[in-house]
Amino acid sequence: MITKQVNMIKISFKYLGLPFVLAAVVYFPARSQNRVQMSLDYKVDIPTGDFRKDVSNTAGRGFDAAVLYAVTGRLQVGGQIGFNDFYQKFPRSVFEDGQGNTISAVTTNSVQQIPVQATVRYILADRAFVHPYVTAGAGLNIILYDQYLGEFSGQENKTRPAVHAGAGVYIPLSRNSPLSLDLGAWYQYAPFDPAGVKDVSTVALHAGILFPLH
Amino acid sequence: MNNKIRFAVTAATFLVLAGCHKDPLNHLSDSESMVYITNRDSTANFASYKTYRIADSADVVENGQLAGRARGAFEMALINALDSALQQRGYTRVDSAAQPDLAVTLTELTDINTGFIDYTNYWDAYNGYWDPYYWGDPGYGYYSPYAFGTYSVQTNSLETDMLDLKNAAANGDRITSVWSGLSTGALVFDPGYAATQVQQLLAQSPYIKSTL
Repeated sequence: MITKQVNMIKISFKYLGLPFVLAAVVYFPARSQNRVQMSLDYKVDIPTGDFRKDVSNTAGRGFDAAVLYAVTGRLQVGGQIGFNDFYQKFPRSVFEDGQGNTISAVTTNSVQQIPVQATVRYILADRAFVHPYVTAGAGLNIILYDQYLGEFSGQENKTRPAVHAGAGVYIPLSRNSPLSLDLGAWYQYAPFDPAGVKDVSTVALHAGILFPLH
Repeated sequence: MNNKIRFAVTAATFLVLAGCHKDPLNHLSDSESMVYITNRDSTANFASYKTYRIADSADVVENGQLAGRARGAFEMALINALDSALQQRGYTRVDSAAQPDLAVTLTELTDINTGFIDYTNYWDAYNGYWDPYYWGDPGYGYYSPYAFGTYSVQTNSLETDMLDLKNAAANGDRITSVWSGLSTGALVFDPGYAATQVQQLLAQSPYIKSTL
């Protein structure tokens, strides 16, 4: 576990700093124009496809943060990072390992995903009180994949490409408030290959707040 | 709040939140931590064996070195459980004078790197002939084999082996291991959990039975 935490920290500093650097690049030159906004969201991820073989539980320890630069009144571009922790424990079962061994164990799958992506959001109706938008992004997904047999873990850490697309709404807290609620959902396609799992794709539901960085 | 400070606080908050993780080890009971691994010699016919003898104590191996023998509450509970289980499978316990077909050895492995097992023959580590007639007698040093390579963490494990005494001569004067069982986890040396370990190891080895 200590090794895993160290790895997480190393990976976090290696990759998670990137979107903040990108965000700073767009933020500080543009701040005088009040075009930069940040969304901070709580996120629930629902495993889909092949991922459900190992984890079918919905992950409720997720977060997402995006820094967005308003190119126009409707078009926002920026970077976002997220996190979620997937966990599932299976009852004791007996299985063959393919090497002649018969194993009885309680299996626990523990998966963390940290997507780091460039993102685009297009606001469909910028003059209405509620601003619906569509979003898409592409980048990398840091995957920490642990399968425990009893208390013994076998770890597969990979960084793979990932893309997402979805939709949401900004709902201003009041007519003149700079703050908005941010509600939405997206599908993230996240390929993975070790451990017989082709992908760790998810459907994400998120809710948070959008605020200007000025 | 200053914009730069707000930005830094936001970024730091997210990174802290990103550390949220449900640790599987904190959601695992002692019994759930137990892992049982068995392996067999696929050429062995367990119905051909009729009698057995169980070692009266367990070898203690620390970091791959034999450190002594143990004969306490746990070992006695284990021997009794094995005795009962093998008799239920149709085998008869005899003493060494009766030349048992099978020998059952116990090895307590501590402070070792663990992983999946790698089946080997009993005497690969010794390269010598050991007369099966004297197996189990005091002073002959019939140590248990190291048939398992286990996981990459330090832990305690119990290895139980069945040795073919009956066919030693036919096997070129070598005693071979026909079955190995490894149990490891939080309760591995708990006297109150010895019978459960034996039951699980035998339950996943239904081929161990005599046709008496």
